Amino acid sequence: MATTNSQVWIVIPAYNESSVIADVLCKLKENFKAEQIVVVDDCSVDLTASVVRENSCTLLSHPINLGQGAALQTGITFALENGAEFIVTFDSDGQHRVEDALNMLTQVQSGECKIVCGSRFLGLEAKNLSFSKLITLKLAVIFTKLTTGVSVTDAHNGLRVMTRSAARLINLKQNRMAHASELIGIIKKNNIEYMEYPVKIIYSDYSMNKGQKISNSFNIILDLLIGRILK
Amino acid sequence: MIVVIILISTLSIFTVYSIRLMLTGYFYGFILLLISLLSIYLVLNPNIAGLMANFLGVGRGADLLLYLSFALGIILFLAIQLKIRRLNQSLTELVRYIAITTVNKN
Repeated sequence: MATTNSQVWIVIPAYNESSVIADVLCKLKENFKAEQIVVVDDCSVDLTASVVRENSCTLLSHPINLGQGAALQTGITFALENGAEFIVTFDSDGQHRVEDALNMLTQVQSGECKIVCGSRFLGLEAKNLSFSKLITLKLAVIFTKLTTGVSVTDAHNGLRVMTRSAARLINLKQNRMAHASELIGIIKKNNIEYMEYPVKIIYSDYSMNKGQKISNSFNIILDLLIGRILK
Repeated sequence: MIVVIILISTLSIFTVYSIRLMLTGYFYGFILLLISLLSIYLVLNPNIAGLMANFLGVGRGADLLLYLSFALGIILFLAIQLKIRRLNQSLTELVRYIAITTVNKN
């Protein structure tokens, strides 16, 4: 394991992922310390928590379900409190590749930027990406541009790497899926140096069933609009 | 006449509620008290609503009250949304605190 990885914490929000998370954790443990892999269990009703314990990773448990955004912020807060110098956010459903996280980590550790956001639209072909999912993601990019002024190619990619200083500026208020757009707004507002990095997203029947539906986009838009009005 | 009695009764309960809010330190209780007293006055003097409506170029007194009720409804909706949002944020912070302080480390 690289010496620099001892300063790296992995934050994984999880909800009912007992069937796949073990594999995710095993792969991550090959490169990172188990105790620095933080799974935030968002009140799962399956055996997610047990699987995390069996894999000797750190488990934070929400007593009620709040949403992925809230779970992400809980993990980031915990990692910062425990001295993380770099934080990687990673999905629990097996869509992300550890090698992509390591490449993004290299970018951040080199000082090129403070946050690297993964993008599935920068050259690497997304495996099994459905047309409806593609449309949803493209609309999200347009919406993000309109609301934040930031041009990104992939607004809803959960694979990100950030420095401690950048993580400290993040305080997600959107508990559910709107947090992804909110995060980009935070990057813009605080002038955080960021870049996108090509990553490969692996879609399986499992992850496609669990993923965002286009109908959820309306909820995200509503959450963001209400958040802006009531700020 | 029955409608007037029903309206006055309802508004009287609302007036008492407003006074209670005001006495427990909520400023908006004062605003609600003014609204309820004005409403009672207008119910007892419907011609005043008509004069106000003509002055404002609305038409009928009933139309004016409808428009004002709609505007007030929007304001109340936003106020309630804001309250819910703040409650959600407090709840989130509490849940986060519980999750972090009961961390399961292996």
